[in-house]
Amino acid sequence: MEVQDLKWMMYACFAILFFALSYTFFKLGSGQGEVLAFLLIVSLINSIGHLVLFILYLFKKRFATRDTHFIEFLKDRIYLPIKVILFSILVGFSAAFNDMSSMLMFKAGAPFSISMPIFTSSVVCLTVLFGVFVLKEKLSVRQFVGISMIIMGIILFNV
Amino acid sequence: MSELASIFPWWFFCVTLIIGATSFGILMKYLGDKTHPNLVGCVFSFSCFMVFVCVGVLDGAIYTFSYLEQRTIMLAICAGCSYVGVDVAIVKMYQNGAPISLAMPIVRAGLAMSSAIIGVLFFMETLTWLKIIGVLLTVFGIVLSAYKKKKGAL
Repeated sequence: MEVQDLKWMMYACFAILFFALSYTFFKLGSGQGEVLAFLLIVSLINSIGHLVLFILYLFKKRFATRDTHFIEFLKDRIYLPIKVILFSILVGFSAAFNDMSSMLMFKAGAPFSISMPIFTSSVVCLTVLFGVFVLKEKLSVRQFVGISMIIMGIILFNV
Repeated sequence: MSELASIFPWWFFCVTLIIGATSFGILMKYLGDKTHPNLVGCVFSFSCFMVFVCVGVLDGAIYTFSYLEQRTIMLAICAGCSYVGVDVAIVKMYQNGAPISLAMPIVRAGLAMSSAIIGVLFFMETLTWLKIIGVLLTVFGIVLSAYKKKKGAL
């Protein structure tokens, strides 16, 4: 396994850990109070968290490169092309759509043991299809068998 | 917003959830190539917040928010902080060259697996043989799809 592969797999592990934590907090918090108020706080904290981390990053870089002009320094760091802004807004919409749908799905009485396997395996299938057919990523037979086993496993432990 | 749950059946929201989650995973692939992940995260989480504000205003629910318990607020803050971790980890994962067709199944499978473990440990859910087989099958699937053979090896 290459170092680069290990790096993205390490980040994948972090993503799994934080995903699991956030869904646990969602489950604990969904039963009480206004759904929308809960979602509003979550998204607000999310944006504040990102802002704080970005400011910390700026401070760190500023101390490392003291000699450059402050405005030039900011121009170099705060680089947001229109394409990235548009994609970010689209991601924001899909995240909002995602959160609202999951809350409403359970409110509409979705059985957990049926809805979750359908949801998780469909997302996996659609993403793999997108990667292979649109992004032209190559899947070996072994990877295809592995992904099929992942989908079967997901269905089994949600039954 | 809650009235929608009584108008549409649950599978309708399941379909919208699949669309939302898949597009989220795909769009994240295009972000963070040239810009800092937290700057990107700040823009998209703020747009997500604005969507909720608009829904709240259109729905009228924002004017009638009742008292929120301190525990609920704390849980929402914790969920928001965890989301920051998710966003940064996913963008960093793609920045390090993760292929979408491999990385997303691994993340989703890991999430489903860790949910099963959390369910057993913290929500007193039962662990059946089918679940154990499912976990083993998923782990084997991840190892099989993620492990690369050395060039020239059989």
